[in-house]
Amino acid sequence: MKLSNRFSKRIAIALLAGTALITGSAQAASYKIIVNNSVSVSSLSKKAASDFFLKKTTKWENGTAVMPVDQLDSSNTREGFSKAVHGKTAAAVKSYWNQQIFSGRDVPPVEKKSDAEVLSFVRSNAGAIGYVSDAASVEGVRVVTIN
Amino acid sequence: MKRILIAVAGLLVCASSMLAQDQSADTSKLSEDLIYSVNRTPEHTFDTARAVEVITIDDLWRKSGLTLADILVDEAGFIKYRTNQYSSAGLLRGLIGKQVLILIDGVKVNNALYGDTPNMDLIDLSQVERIEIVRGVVSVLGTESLGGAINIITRKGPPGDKVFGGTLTTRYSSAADVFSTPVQVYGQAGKVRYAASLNYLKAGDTEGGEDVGVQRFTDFNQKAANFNVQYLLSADKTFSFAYHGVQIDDAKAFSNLLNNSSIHNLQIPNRFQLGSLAYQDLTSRGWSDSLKVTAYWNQQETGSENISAATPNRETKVLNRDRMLGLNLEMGSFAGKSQHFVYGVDYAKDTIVSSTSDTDLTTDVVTYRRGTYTDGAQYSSIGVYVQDHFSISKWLTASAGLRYGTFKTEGSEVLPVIGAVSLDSTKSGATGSLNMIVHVTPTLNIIGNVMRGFRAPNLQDISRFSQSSSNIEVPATRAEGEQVTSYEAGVKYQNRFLSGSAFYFTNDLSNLLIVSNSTYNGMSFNDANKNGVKDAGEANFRENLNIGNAQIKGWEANVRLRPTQWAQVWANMTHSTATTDDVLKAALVQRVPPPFGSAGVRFSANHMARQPWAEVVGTFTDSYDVDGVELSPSFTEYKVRAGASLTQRFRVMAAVENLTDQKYLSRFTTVYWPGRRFVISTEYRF
Repeated sequence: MKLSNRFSKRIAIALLAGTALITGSAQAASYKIIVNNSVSVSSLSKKAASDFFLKKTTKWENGTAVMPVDQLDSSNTREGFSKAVHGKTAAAVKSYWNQQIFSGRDVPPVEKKSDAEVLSFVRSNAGAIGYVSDAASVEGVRVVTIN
Repeated sequence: MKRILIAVAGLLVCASSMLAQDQSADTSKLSEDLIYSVNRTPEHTFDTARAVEVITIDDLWRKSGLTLADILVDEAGFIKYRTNQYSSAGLLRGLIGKQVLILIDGVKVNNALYGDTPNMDLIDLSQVERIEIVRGVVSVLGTESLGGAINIITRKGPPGDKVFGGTLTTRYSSAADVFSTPVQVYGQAGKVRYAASLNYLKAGDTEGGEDVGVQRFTDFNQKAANFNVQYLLSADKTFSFAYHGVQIDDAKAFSNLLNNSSIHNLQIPNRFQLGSLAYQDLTSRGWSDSLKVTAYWNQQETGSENISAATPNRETKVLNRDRMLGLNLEMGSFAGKSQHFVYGVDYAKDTIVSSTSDTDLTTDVVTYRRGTYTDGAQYSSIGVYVQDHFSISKWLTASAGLRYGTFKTEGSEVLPVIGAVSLDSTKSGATGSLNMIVHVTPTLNIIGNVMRGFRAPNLQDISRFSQSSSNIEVPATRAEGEQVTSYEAGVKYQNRFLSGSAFYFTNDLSNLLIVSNSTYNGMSFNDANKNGVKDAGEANFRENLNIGNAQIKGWEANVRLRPTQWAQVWANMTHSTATTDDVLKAALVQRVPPPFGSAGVRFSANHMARQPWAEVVGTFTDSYDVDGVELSPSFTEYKVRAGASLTQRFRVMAAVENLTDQKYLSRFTTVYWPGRRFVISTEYRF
């Protein structure tokens, strides 16, 4: 039992150490939310935007199916977007989707590797919604503000 | 069980009339790369610090196994022992039975009567979507996982957007004329998703390899019913209800019938039932990102009916029933950039019914006596756990877990020879783990783990009593928990063409429970005539004691090469050794398997309409010798399998297993391994 207690203490210390670790915060880039030109929306609340990307709302007001597109979870733009819109880190959102997949409920939005790929996807799919970095050129899509 | 079968049959019929309103994406494919059982949260297998295997729904079809053990038999680190014709036990890292945790959808199956070789095959494969194996202690899952954990994930709903569908499957194996017909339906209607199945299996006498021939009295039947219904309260909230039931009929203790010591013998009842209610909420709150509550009921019954040739006028029936009720409350929280806590509390209570009845067949008078265990005994456990998974830097990820459990046994009885016995006791212990992954490159992880396991004695350990002319086994009221300290180092590699892992482990086991000579009231024997001297006919006392210490070391490696889209080659190998004190030699070291492994090559053309595939698999187990005595011979089994989709709705697979008709009797086994056999499975999807 002595060994067990000693081991438990070590694990508890490791848990506390883990809690205390402040991981280096990567530069969370600013972002722009974009939609396909067929979507006649110019602003969204944070909750409405979050619901589109978490597939909680699956149709636009005009009945068109919502097609959200994410950036890769390693992207700084995604980190900034996740914190601002979902109110949680990209890792937490990834965990949310893993649990949805695992319980057989749903799959996450498609992921694109760059602003250019996201733009191309949003341009060519009616009902699409995505986000790109602030610096990206957004020709051929509509920019939506968050209020 | 009959009522359940009728209910599921009703569901199968009614489901076809349901209308579709909802859509669901195909989660089955995406979940193939996820594993839940390491940190109690789904994560990618490559990114976990542990030695894991995941068997996918495609693997299940290709292997087309009869039992869970058939499916796992080619996996690294896992060795199967057929304990008799209808059941198997699995061994992970030298530990077996009650020291390996088995779960269905995260709900534990191990009950308070789990012994050394419980039947892990009492799980119907027709409803299984994937199987996860974690080798080594899994601290947060439960205290039984000294050797590892096997988590069976069942199908939750329809694949893809299907509104209603199902499969009609048939499977035939020539070794014992085994025929099974699983029927499954799944669908979604409004907020409801469901999957349900019925299965009936009939097995004849098993035919062994070479000159063994047909092994008489090894036939049995099995029926199973499963269903899972999800009610989608919202995108974040799910309420689900599941039931899994399996019953084996007509199994016999065939050796008693072969040697004519029994006139009649049936190993019934042999039944497993698990029902669970779960509520999952993934709504993000300030203090929690996920909440799950699961309540479950798990009832397992074993028994026998026997008429001995020596007493042909007496039928003896034995019944052992364990009814477990459990509750789990679990939450998950994110903190900082990537720190993920999973924490919760588990409660379970087992109640035992154990009795033996003797019926005088001439007068029909029934007399009752003690069963295998203490009738009415109860076993309850409360465990609290926390798991923290965090990134220290881009290069280093760690996870630490701790679980503390309290275990209470209650029960009393008056036994022959030894008088009043009380099982009342409370034990407690902690398990924990600290895992570190160094991400050397995006394709290479180096891993170091240390784990501490604890398994409290269950009622199977402490409430056994038996009496013969030479020995009296007394209840082990002094038993304490078994412990293991494990160290593990490993490497994982994964790119587009090549993937693999290798782990080295060392397990220091202590306080292992071993039945050994003991003393009772200061005497090593039953001094019936009170003369203080052991006379002829006076039996020795034996007891389950914490006297075993051992060290098991070993390594497990697997590699998979995909040089092209249509070909892959894989191999795995496991080797372990043990050092121990003499008392354990018979009980423990003999369990440590000889070197074993498997290798295979598969060709598949998934881009073609008929998606043909073919594979050759070889499985090798070395001979096992202790002190120059061969306990089991070496065994090599080759399997050739092939399959294709003949139409969009109909697919078929065929196999020849044990191609060279090898004869094999493994340890813990009384039935020879099936000889060369032809297997054919068909599946019609509607």
